[in-house]
Amino acid sequence: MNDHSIHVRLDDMLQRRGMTLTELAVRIDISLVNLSILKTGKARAVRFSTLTSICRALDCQPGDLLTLDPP
Amino acid sequence: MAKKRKIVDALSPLDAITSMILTVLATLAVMGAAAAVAGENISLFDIGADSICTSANFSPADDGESSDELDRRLHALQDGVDVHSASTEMCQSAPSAAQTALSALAQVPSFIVFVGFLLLTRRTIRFARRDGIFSQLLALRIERLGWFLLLGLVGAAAVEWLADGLLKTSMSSMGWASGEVHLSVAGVIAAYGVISIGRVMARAAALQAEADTTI
Repeated sequence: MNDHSIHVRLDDMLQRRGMTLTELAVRIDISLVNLSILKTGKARAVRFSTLTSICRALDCQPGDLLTLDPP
Repeated sequence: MAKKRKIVDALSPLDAITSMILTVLATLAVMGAAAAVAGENISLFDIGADSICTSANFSPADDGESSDELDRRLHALQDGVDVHSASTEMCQSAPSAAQTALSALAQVPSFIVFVGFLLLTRRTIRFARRDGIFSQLLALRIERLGWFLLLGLVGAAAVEWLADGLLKTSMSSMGWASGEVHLSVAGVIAAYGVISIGRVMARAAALQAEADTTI
């Protein structure tokens, strides 16, 4: 169980850019397993380097990817 | 994954060595038991022995000359040098079943703790090989291994002290004679070390879990 309320909207961004998770994994050289962990909300922390790679690949801002769930 | 396999494979020699020691001990125990039963002049923890002995903290009767004087002359000692003789042994020939049982009880508990520790160590190593080295469960097992060793050593020393005392008492009519305390200080320190390692690994497992879910 995570102790945070951050939601990673990776599915939304992938859909908007017409990209699959597998394609993103290949493009940013992060394993599909790790991206799945991120997508399903099981990650407990994200490195800035990972966030940079994802945002560059999806041409978006971190704020487009991360939202804070209401209490 | 390759790194994890390398770490797990590094545990394989430990597993092999522990298993080998246990096999040797089991073989020796079975051979000793078989020889004792077969009536050979071999005993296992004094079971099957023609006489059983225990140490006593008193000097043998004087032979008309004090042992100090005799020792002084034998060893040509200088003035001011004292001689303290080694402890005396009391030996009972044709011991009763109760005395044989007490003599065995004064030796077996430590052996049981030693074998139990080896068995638990092997189980812990195999658990680590199967489930990886960074888990809370493994850390808990290691800590429990340390507690087993610590409490086992203390418990064994208490049982052996009591059995030795009862054995000494059965060999004289002077009432209760205190047994000898044999507590391995090295063993206690090792147990404390194993408990500490278990607690450190619990913290390491928590950190690893955090690292594993950091993308």
